[in-house]
Amino acid sequence: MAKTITLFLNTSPYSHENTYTALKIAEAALDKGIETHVVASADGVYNFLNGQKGSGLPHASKGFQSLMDKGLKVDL
Amino acid sequence: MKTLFLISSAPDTTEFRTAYRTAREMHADVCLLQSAVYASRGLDDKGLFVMSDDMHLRGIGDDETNATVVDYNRLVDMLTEADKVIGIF
Amino acid sequence: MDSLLVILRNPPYGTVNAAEAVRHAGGASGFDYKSILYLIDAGVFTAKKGQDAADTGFSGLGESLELLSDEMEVYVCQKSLKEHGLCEDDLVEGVTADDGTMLDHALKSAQTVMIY
Repeated sequence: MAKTITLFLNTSPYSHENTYTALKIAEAALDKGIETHVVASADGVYNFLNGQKGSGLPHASKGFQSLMDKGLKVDL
Repeated sequence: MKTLFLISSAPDTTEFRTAYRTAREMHADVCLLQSAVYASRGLDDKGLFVMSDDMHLRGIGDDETNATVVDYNRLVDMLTEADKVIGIF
Repeated sequence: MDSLLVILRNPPYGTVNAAEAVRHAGGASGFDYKSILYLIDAGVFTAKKGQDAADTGFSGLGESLELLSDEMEVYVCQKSLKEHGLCEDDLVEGVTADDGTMLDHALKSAQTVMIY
């Protein structure tokens, strides 16, 4: 059976470091050819809003968009 | 059963203490992430791993810990090799 | 002169508290406030030397503290340093270790206190 990784993200993008951790794990998993999912719940859905203007921290929506272009599957 | 705990809370929090104690009681491996990496300076337990990116971001050198330092590539291997991953703390 | 005391109790990066504490204390000093940033409990890790933000996307807070210490006062609680296994040699330039005397004074004299 093919390996998959599913990450559960339930915190908002600029209050916690979880977004960065999720981005880095997902990136590494995708680079290994592993099917990778993010399930966003509660405030985690804010990671995927358009028009974010965060600075000084990793940019959530740009980061996830770039990984979605590489095959990351996201469910809200 | 091979269990891996991912702990991200700072060492001086109830969340960290509960998670670490539970992991040890279950004989699970532990990977310290985010603010939990500060704990790697004082712990010397078997099956303890620590994320290099999060250490370096906080000014902690590889020589300041006895835990096994891992990168995201290695962590993904650990995630896929474990029977169960508990990462809620 | 208006005065602001910002107390930071949380370690950097895990949450946005440390970044906001540094930003508000630095911002106030830019508006001619007498601004004091006081690091206590796990907040003392914000002043640890050698923080390497590299290409993470985070702003390195140790470096920010060092730069801002020219225009505001930055104190680190001595007792918290010890509790968290740090000593003064582990800290970036521009921060001062305090035995509680400055905190006592700042709490009494600051017009506004913000706690992160």
